[in-house]
Amino acid sequence: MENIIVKFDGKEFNIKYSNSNFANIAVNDKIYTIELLKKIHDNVFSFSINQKLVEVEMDFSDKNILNISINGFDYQIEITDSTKQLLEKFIKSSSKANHGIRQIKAPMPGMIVKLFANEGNNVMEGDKLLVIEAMKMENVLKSPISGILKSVKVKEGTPVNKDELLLEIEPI
Amino acid sequence: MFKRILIANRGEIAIRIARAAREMSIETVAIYHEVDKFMPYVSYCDYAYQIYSETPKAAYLDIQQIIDVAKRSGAEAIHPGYGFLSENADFAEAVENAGIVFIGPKARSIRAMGSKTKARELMAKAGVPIVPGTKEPLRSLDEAKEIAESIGYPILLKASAGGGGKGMKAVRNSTELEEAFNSAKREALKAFADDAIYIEKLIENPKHIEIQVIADSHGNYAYLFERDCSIQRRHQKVIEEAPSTVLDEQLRQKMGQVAIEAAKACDYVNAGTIEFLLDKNKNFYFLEMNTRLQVEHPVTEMITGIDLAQEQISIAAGKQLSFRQEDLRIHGHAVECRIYAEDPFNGFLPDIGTITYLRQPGGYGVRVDSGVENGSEISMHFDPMIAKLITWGRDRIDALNKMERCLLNYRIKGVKTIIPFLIAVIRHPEFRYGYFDTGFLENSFDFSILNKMKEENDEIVAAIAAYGYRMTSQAKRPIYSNNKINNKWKEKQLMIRRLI
Repeated sequence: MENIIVKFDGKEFNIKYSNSNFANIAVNDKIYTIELLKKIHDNVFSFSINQKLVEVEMDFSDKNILNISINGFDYQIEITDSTKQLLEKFIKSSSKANHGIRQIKAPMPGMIVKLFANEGNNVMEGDKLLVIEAMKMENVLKSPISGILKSVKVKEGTPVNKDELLLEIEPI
Repeated sequence: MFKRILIANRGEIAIRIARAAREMSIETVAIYHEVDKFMPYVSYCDYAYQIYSETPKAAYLDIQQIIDVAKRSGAEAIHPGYGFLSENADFAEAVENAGIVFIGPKARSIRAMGSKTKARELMAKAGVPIVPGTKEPLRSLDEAKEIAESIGYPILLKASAGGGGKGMKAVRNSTELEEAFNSAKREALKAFADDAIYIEKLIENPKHIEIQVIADSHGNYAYLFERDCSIQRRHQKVIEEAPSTVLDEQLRQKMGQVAIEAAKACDYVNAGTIEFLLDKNKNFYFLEMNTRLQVEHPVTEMITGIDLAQEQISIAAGKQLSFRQEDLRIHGHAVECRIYAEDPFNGFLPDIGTITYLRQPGGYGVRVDSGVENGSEISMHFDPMIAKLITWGRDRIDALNKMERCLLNYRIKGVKTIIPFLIAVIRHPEFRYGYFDTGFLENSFDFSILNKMKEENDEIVAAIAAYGYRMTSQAKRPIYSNNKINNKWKEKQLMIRRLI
């Protein structure tokens, strides 16, 4: 089995599989002995890792991302190998299209009740961009970066779905 | 006693009431909007009637339809639970006029306490200490400015008809006032169909202490001690406990007496709660009265042994309180954590989805009041609270240890919940020592601890991900271990596991 790189939360972990022992997996050269003890439910498994027991939810439905959750913590994991990674880096550095433009997406389904800025406005990091209402609570979305509002895709009163594009900000 | 009652609510509180009723050999009638058809509370009751409305929430607010169902179903009384119509005086009145018993206070008591401005007036007259502020709803932004200047910033804008932190905004200086004023009005209008708001002086970082009172229709009153609900996030209660760490016997008695005076002042019958703010110098101020059963009532039940829901039903049936004030003792300590379907890693935004796997904790001193089960759909139509976890211990630390154990053992998959956040709070040294106020989450709690807790799993997660990746990419290869197996039993177990 070819060695891979596991990426999540902006961190990378080098994985080496052992060819002689299926249970042994080296994470950044530290060996873990893993055994799948049982399947508790669809996608919920009990693992033994160095004899310590953990319950894990694993969702394989997405081809590119492996979703794992442990004790209420969720991890979106990307798995790649060294050749793939090199290629990705190359593509990223050579493509300048949409470079740096930050897309603000709806974190949840709801309704836009207030917009604080218009297209072309300058916004500073931390500035209020809009108010989205869901479950009767108003939630303020603040700008993650300083820049110019390149486009505003919604109006006050627009209902939005989760992950729907709301605004685009071009950094200064 | 009643033969059958209707529960004009949904979710965990509907189950809570149905449990109480069933223990009293009373049949229960559930009402449900289509979206709730498969929720556990519906099947928990003896009868179920569908109610219809354009939006799910509106169905549970449809007074006429609910009363019609009650009549059709032969229910003799209606329990409103909390939220929805529970503090709607018109509903209580309409129920009584229809010849059905409302399990709660009289409409005039709800009305007296329902408008917070009127309640403050009434309480002031009864000699209950109140926080400085307006008594009338604000007419304009200019008036708000004027009053804010006169009582001094910081101030709090609150919805007159409100509760649960909706339509409530803290304002620290005059420049913030306009936006907060408009936002509070908008939220109030959406949540309560009434945009009346008023101003109160903001008592900085008080403790939120509330007294449970109960009264029967024969003039007997009792208080069931206090609950400390100081752990709040954006004015939403998150963790509640009883008793409080800061009340001594003397203060407890004094607040209890004041609470009874407050209840008497509005001619109160049935279970109610007087909320107080307690400042650093142990001065307490009347905040509001909740004329219904509270979300956090279980902690009081755990330390007093009194079933408040049952007591409510028997009071409504005209019975006397089943106990006297002098019978009540505080027994041990109870803590409640509200399990919200919110993502603590994404600004606590509500999460929706289907619960794909649910395993609730159990054991000695553990109570789970839950409204969901495997397969339940969490929608954006209702409040994101899906369950309450309550633990009881012989003392506070015992109860907290049980709570931590239960939170770690609680599995809810399919929607994100605030459980990791609750664990972090329960572990927090200042909280454990009982040194906290309503400013705890803002001032003492470091939310980045959540990321640190998450990081502790990093290598394990990487290892499991690698394992899972190999499992799926080489699906045909059996899972085996090269470790020497010298035990027949274990070998057999491993064989079984391979078949998964």
